[in-house]
Amino acid sequence: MATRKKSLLKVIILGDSSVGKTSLMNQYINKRFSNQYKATIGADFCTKEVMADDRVVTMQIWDTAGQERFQSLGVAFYRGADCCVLVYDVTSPNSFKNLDSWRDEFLIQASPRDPDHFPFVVLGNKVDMDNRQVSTRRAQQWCQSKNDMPYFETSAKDGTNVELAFQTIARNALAQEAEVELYNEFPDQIRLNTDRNNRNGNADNCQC
Amino acid sequence: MSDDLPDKFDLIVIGTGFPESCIAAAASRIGKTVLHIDPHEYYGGVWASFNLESFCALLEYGNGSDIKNTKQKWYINEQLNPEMGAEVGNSNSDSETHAMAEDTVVRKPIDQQWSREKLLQQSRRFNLDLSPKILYSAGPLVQLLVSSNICRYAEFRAVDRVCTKFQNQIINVPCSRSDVFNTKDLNIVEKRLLMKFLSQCLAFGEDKTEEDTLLYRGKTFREYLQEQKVTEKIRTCVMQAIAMSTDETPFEVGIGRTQQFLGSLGRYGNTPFLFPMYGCGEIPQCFCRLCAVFGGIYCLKRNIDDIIVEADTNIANVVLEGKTIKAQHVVSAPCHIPTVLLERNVGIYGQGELVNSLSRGIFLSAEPLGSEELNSGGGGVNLLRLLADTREAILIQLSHFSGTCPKGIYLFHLTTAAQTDQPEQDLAPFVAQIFNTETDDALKLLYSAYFTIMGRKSTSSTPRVDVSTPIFCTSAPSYELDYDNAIINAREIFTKLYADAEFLPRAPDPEEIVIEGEDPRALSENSLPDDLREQLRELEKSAEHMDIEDTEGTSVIEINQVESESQQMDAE
Repeated sequence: MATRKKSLLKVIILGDSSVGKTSLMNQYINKRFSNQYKATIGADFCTKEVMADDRVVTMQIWDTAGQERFQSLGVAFYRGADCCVLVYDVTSPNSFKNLDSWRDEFLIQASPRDPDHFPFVVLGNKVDMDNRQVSTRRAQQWCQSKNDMPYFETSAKDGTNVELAFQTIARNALAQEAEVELYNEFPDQIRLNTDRNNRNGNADNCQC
Repeated sequence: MSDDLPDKFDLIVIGTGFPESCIAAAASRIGKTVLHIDPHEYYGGVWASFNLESFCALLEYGNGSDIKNTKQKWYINEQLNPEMGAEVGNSNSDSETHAMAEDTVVRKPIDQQWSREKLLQQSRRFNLDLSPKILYSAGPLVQLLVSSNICRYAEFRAVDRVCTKFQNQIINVPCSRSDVFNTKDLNIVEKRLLMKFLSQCLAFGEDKTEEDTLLYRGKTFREYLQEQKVTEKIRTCVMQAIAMSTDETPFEVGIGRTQQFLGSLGRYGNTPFLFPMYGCGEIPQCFCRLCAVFGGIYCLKRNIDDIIVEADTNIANVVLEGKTIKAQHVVSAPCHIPTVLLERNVGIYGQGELVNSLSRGIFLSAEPLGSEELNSGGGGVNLLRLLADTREAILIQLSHFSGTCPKGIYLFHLTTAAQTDQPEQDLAPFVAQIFNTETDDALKLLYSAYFTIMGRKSTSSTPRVDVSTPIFCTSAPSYELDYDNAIINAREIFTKLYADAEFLPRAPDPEEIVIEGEDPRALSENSLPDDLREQLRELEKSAEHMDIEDTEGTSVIEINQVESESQQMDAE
């Protein structure tokens, strides 16, 4: 049990409202983009099978479901994350400035075992727009100052770098998972489901 | 910040405790616009869990009107005692520290292993529940989580052992068939009797007119057990841990609970019970997430000044930090109803007088309770129901495997129905049974805390309340193992609000959501690698010159999940 490979990676996407978290997810999973902004309705989490380091793993990407809008993300959202994606909008300096607090918030709420080496990936989104306000250099500098977090400039609209960014996310999440696996902090976790995967079989119960 | 909020909602929910979150999720799920507010900065209200630091602060300063009579005590020093036999230093508050230091002859002194500082350093590894619960694997909450598909937001640990107190010892109650055969606590005759008895219980009730059933009608479950030829030990196991009964429990109720226990066996673990990973405070948050996914808006740390009901339209005007927001209905946790509203004597459905609901105790120790055998594998989650005269209490032991405390620490939750204003006094007879401080081998405590959870005694049965009121009050946690009453409460209020709507129908999985007007097999240009996309654009350009009519195949398509969602529901 202790060496059981985890086949599910939990990735959470953080960042200010309307920086394009849901759109990035949609672009990556469905190759689709909607110009019409809706404060995240119906976006929950997406799963995608990815190949990383010769292994097929299921990546589960969790959206904030809009609960970040009034700073009301609960601690449950952060539980068991294998990678955290920080997104800002290159046309909004404020959303870039807030990355610091989003990162801190993640480290506090998720309290990962090894906070210094927890995999973050930073995405500067909306590079297709003309009115860019945050320079690549500034963003890269900040990322370097925080344990050299990988940085990508993306466009959820035209798909620039989205695939590449998520591949990195998967690879880094997997690397993190390989380290955590040694501890296997919570073995025997149960997920409830309708088809009762977890059922032990009849041999081990008392319904005689 | 409130400025960004819409000024009209179908429903405003105040408080993020279990019933409130349940109602918010159910309303949002059927397409109602929901604003969900909590004056606290955390989710869960009296159903929340806290890290150690916040918990200590909560008990020190209180959080309003829902938690009272708080008391906490440390049995260890601020810092680690550096050496064997060194003076107890730095003890700044309680005389207890000295008492503990004196009788530490046998083991390595606890104050050399643990200190307040050391525990608080790991504060975030703690998830201390105000209202801990244990779930039957086939019980109402598990059923609701599965049927609504909210279960995808939570993980669980199977309760490792169900225990009972017999002749001053804590023994394991065998749950599965293999348990019964392996246990050393029962002899071979007892094992046969137990198996026979349990299968007999399962058969009950299929035919209400059956002779056996009629025979015991009006009698207590204890009387029934006495007439079965079982030993004292089996009677104790069945009464205390399987049928969850007292001497007064009616026969039908006892049989019902036994059947619930048996019906929950063999689903997930060795026992019929589950405990939510990271504590029960996760559960309301799961419901809140569903509400948010369906468009509910979340605002923590917002105060409600007042609620004014328009006499002619019966619309509630909720005054939220100076801003008025209109709502068809308001649902509130008992402790968050504004006092000004109470003073005006406005009709509120479900509102009652403020009473003590639960007497709670939380204890930390570096050792588990009971024998090594009861805690094999590091001790997981153990359940022990205690009786004292006519009263009962539930003890839940949690190890770090439950995600509620750090490794090496055991967390104990003791809960009983409140009798007085003094939770410590209410719990004293039970504490004496488990942490018997008289004996040498008693469990050494590191920390203890007591508090009362308040609730408004629900008066929904006495319709003093104006039936047309748009304001509804939920119930505080009651003394129960699972969430039976809490779910009944949420469902009842939901039905009052939306009589014909289904309560939390299954939410579709993300991949089941079909996006309107979109053929999922169609390849859009963005699914192509960059170089191919360039080529495609070139082709398109040349196609324009060739005057070929382009269909809208590759244009941006509006995603309208909400509508397609409702269509899907209609189709169902």
